[in-house]
Amino acid sequence: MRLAGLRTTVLFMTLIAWSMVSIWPAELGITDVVDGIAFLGNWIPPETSGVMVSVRASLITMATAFLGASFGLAIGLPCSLVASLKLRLSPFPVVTALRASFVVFRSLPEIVVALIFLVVFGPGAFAAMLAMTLHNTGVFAKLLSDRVDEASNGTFEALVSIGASRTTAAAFGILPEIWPTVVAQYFYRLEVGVRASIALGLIGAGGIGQQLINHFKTFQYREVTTDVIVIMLLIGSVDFLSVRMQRKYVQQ
Amino acid sequence: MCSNNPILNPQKPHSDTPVDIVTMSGLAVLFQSRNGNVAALKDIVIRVSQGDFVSIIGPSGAGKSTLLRCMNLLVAPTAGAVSFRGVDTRQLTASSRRNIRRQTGMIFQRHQLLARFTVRQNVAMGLFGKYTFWRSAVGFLNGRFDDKDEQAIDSVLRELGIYEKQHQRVDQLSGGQQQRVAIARAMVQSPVLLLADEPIASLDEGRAADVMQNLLELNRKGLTVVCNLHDVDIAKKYSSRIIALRHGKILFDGVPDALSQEIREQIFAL
Repeated sequence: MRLAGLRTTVLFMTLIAWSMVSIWPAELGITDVVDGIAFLGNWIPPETSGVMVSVRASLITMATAFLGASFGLAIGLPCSLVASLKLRLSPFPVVTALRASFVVFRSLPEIVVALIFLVVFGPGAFAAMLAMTLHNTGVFAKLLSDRVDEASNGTFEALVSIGASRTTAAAFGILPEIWPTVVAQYFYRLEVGVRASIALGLIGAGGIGQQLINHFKTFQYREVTTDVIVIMLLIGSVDFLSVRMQRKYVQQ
Repeated sequence: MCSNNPILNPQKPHSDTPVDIVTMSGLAVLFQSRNGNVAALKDIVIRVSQGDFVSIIGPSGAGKSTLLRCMNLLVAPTAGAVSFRGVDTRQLTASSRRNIRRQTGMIFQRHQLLARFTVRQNVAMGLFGKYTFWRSAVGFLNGRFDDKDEQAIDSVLRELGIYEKQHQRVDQLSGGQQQRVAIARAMVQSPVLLLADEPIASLDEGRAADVMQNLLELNRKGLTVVCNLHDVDIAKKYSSRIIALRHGKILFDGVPDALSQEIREQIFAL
């Protein structure tokens, strides 16, 4: 037992060492780091003349994340009920096919899907929104169908027992029980979506991310600082809103 | 009050001949398990007539809940037949099965109510059997159904003494009050048969007596009641007939007075 533990530790430490060697910059000396830190002096003070442009771009980022999470939930939630193994709302092959598609949607990184959509729909936030919708659909459907399967089916059975259709029974017997999870997951995906939307902006999908990379590539570092501050305020606001909303709707 | 309420006063048959509500003949239910098939019910022959108050007693695992679920077609028998008001249910379509369930109210030990919703919203859910999904959703979210249905909800709430609490959340009520909400939900669908699966198992003595009294009053107004109970004395006190199950088979079927101590011991023998 001890030998096995030692072997695991050695293997783990070797993996850490190999990973660090793999990513270590080829020519990085202490003077380079010092120079880099000194160069950050060019980033301050933030350039405020274009702050409204950054704020408008951040609102696009917010809208992208909001639509991606909302459409993802709108599609993923009904799919989670249809794909539940317990509720039997659809034949087994349909359930299997749906569940397999959720795995595909979830496993495809948003950035890869966004690149494809950028080619199809052109640059901008629309492609990012579609990519996030697809990913969120898979995430919501998988997470919530698992939750549906774990939920007590007492009220569902009670409604079926009085002649309600299985769809009605699922909507009123199961949804209220999993609703706290639905709300919590929605706001969590919204938070994640804001960060993802910023990253997607870096590849041309609009919003504050695109603004940031444009300023960076054109050496407008004081504008970059403004963008970073706006991003921090945006993420802080979404986190604050998310916590408040979860407190209001989940803990009732 | 509400003595003319058609929901709480189902029409009694005109002739003296009792009308069969549910008949079961040669009924058997097998469940698959890792160790092979397990017989939940065997050779069940039962006739429940209009106006009966039947209590089903027996030890845990005797098949009482399965028997109740066979009556409203939630569990399909492996063998034998269930007839509902003279209709053989074996070849029915899904829609016809739902139609039978609409005529059957059911209440459960754990009430199966929506905890974060009001008493009135929970009672309104009894209407979902007769409505489509969209109509149910619109009515529920608007908090308003047809005038006739709204009157029906008012009637059952008053009859069961919970009208004043209609806007309270059900999770703020006592266990006995919650069970009355569950009865109200079943009654709002104007059932011809009320199935009660251990309705007093989680209640204290006083509240249990209240709930049984509610069921008895509904029965006296003509509603047929089939009730699973674990307490034989309560079964003898309230029902007109007792059916005892043991290992999925009927051990006794008769009037309460015929249930001797010897039979009781056989039913609950270890």
